Amino acid sequence: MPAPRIAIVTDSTSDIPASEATRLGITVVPLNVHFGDEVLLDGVTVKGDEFYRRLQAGGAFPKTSQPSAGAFADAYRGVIAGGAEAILSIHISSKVSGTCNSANQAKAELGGNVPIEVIDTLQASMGLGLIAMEVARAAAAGLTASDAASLARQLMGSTRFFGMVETLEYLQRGGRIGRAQMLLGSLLKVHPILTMQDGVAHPLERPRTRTRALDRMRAIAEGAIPLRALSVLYSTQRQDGEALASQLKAAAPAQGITVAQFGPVLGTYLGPGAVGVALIQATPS
Amino acid sequence: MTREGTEIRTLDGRGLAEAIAAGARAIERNRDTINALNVFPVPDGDTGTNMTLTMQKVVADLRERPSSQVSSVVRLMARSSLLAARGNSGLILAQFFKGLASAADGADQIDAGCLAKALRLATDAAYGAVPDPREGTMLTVFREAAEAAERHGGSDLVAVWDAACRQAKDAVRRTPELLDVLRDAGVVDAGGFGFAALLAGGLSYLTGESDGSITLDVPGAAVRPDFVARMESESWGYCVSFAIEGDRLDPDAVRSRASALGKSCVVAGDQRQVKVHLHTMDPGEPLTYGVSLGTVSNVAILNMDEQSREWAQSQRGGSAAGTQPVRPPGVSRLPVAVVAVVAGDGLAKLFTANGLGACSIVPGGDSMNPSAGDIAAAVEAAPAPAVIILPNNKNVIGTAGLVRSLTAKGVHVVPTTSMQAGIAALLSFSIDQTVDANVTAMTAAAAAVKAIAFCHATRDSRVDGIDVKKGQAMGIVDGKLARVHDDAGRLVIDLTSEVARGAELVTVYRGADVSRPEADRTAAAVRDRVPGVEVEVVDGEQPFYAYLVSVE
Repeated sequence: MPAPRIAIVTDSTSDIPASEATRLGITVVPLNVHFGDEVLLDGVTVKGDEFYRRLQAGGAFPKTSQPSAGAFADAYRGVIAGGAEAILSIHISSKVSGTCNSANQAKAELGGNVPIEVIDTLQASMGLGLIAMEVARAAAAGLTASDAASLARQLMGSTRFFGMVETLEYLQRGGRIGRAQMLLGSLLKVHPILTMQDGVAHPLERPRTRTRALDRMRAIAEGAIPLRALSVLYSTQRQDGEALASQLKAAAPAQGITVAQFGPVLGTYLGPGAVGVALIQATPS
Repeated sequence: MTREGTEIRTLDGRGLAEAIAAGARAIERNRDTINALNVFPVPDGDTGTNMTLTMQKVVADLRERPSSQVSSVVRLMARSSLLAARGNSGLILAQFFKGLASAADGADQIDAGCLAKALRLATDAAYGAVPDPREGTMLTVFREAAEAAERHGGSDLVAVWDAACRQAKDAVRRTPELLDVLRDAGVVDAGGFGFAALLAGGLSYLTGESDGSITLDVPGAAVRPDFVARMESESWGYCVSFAIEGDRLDPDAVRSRASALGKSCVVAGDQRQVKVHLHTMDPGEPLTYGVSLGTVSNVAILNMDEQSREWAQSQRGGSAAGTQPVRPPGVSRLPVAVVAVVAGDGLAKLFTANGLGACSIVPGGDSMNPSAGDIAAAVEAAPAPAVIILPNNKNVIGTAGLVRSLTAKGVHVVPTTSMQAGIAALLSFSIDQTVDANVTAMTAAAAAVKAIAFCHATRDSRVDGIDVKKGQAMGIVDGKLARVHDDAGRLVIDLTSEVARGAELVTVYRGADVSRPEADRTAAAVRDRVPGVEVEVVDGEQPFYAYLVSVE
C-alpha cells in the first residue's frame, strides 16, 4: 500500500518565495495587512517592494492580523479535494501571532476525516519556511504523516532565525517586541541583531554599524555549520542579502541558499533595511 | 550640661559626644576644601578624606556605646580614633582625643579647665608623635589653641572653647608664614584647617547656632598652578599605615626605628597598641618590622604618586560626577550584571540605557576616583551573583581589582581605560552569555575602539614630549597626548578626521560645556572630511573633557 499523500500547509509569514512554494507543492495561507480600512492579503494582494514603498511613504501605519479560521478551512478543503490524505500545517510562533489558533479552529471545524496536525514552530519567517520546505521534500520522498510531523518537530530544535534591523521603531510600533524592549532608548545608533528564542524576539548582539552587523550575522551562520538548510532574507536592500548569501556560499548545504524577501507581515515589524538569516543545522546521523 | 547664668560650666559624656559629632560634621562638610589644600607633607589630596573617615569611625563608635560618663566616652574616643586613624592627619587628630582622655581620666563631666588641660596634653602628644615636628602644621594649630585656652582661664566652657577655636583659625591663617611649601603653593595647612573645623563644629553645637554643618571660611584655599605642576613631577612612593598590638610595646622606640625607614613618620600609642604611619618607597620594610613586634592589623598602603596625580588633576578644575549609583528599575535576579564607573549625567544615562537592565553606575572619573568600597557597594547591590566591572579609567582598574576581596560575589574586571571603551564593552554585553564569554567579548570590543579626548590645558607643562601652554586645546589619543593647538575647534576636527580615516563610525560625546549645535557642526565637519564615515553625536555631558570621541 503506497504512503498516504501528505499536504504541507503554511502561512505567509514563512516568506517562502512563491516559485519555491509552487515547486514543492506547499500551500501558503496569507495573513492580512491593514492600511487603515484597507485590508490586503499578505503576498497576494500586497507584495514586497510595493509594500515597502507604502510603508515608507508615511500615512497610516500598517497593522497585521491572522488568517481567519475560514481561510484555513478553505485551504484544507482545497488540498483534500486535490487528493491529500493527511495535512501538516506548519506555522508562526503562537507567542507573536494568533495564526495557530485559526488553524486549530479550522481543524476542529473540518472534523477528523483527514488527519490534520498543526505545528507551532515558535519561529518566524524562513525559520518556519525552511522547516516547511524540508518536510515537503521529505514528504515527496514518501515519508508517512506521523514521521513528517516528527521531522518537523525535530527540525524545530535545530532551526535558528536571526536578523538585523535598522531601527527598533517598527517592532515597537507593532507591539511584538518581546525581550528586545531592553534595547529601546539606547541613545546610541545600534543595528541590533535579534533572534527568535522561545517563540519571541530576543536581543542577540548590538553592533554599532550595519557593516559590522552583517559581518556578525555571517560569522554566526558560519559558526552553525554543517547546515541542512539556509536562507538569507532582506526587506529593502536586496544587494545586502545577495552579498551575504554569496559570502555564505561555502557554508551552504547541497540544495543551495534560498534568498527571499521579508513579506509585508514581517516587513511591518522589521521595517526597511532589515537583513535576516534562517538556518537548520544538520544533525549527525 | 550645667549652666550658671548664661555660662555653660560642664558637659557630660553625651554632651561631649554630641559636640564631637558636630565637629566631625564640620570636617566632612569641608572635606573637599581640605583635600584641595593638602600639599604637605605630600600633595596627595587626601587629608580631608582621611580626617573625615577617622572621625566617622569615632562618631559611629560613640553612637554604639553611649555613656553619660565623660571618662568612658573619652577613653572610647581615644581608642577608636587611634585604631581608625587614616594618614598623617588622622593620626595627629587621634592625639587630640588622647589628650582629652588623659585630662578627663576618671571625671564624670568635662569643664573649662579640663578642656585647656586636654589641649595642652594633646599638643605634647602630637609633637611627641612626630620625629621631626614642623611649625606651620597641625602641631602649631594644636599648640596655639592650647595656649589660648590656658590664657583665657575662665570657667565658662563655651567661652574657653570659643577662645581656642578663634586662635586655631588664626593659626591656620598664619601657617604659610611658617612653612615654605605652603607659601610656595599659596595655601594654608590642610590638617590644621581640619582641626579648626573640628573645634568650630563643636562650638556651633555648644552655642546652639548650628548642628556643626558649617563651612569654614579661611582664605588661601586655592593652590597656585605652577606649584601643581612642580609637585606632580615628584615621586612620593607609598603611604603606609598599620597598627601593632602586643605586650609592652615601646612607642618611642618604634618611632625612632620607623623614622629611619621612611619620611613623614607618625607613631602613637601605648604599651598594648601602637599605630604607625609613614611614607616610604618600600612598604615591605616597615611591615616586616611591625610583624616582628606583635600582631599587625588595619594595614593600609596607598600609592601616593597616583594620589598626587589625581590631586593635580582636581586642582586643574576637573569636577566629580554628581550622580548616585543607579539601580535599574524592576530588575530581578540575573545571572550576571555590570557595574560601571562613569562621570557625567549624560554618560551615566547612556550606560544605564545600554546595560540591558543590568548595569548600575558608580560616579567617578579623572578627578574623583571611587574607592574600592564604593564599587564594592554597587557590586553588592547588583541583582546578580557575578558582576563585571567597567572601570573606564586607567586609575580605577587597580581599585576595581581590590573589590574581589571585599565581596563574596564573583567579580570580573574588563580593564576599560576610557568611557568610550566602556560603552563599546557594554554593547557587547549579553545577559544570555556566561560570565567568561561576556568578559572575552567585552574585552575585545573595548580594545577595538580608539578613544580620543579633548580638553584645555590649565597650566604650562610638557606632556608626552609636547610643550603645552596654558589655555591650549589638547588632543589625547588612547591616553597619550597627540597634539595641542590654540584653536580648540580646529584641533577637534583635524585630529578626529585623521584618526577616523578608514574607520566606519565616529561617536562624538559632547561635554557639559559644549552646546549641541556646536557639537553637531563639529560632527558635520568631520563627515565632510572623512568620506564614508558615519558620525554620531551623543550628549555625554561629561565634565572636564569638551569632547570624548570614539573611532571604530
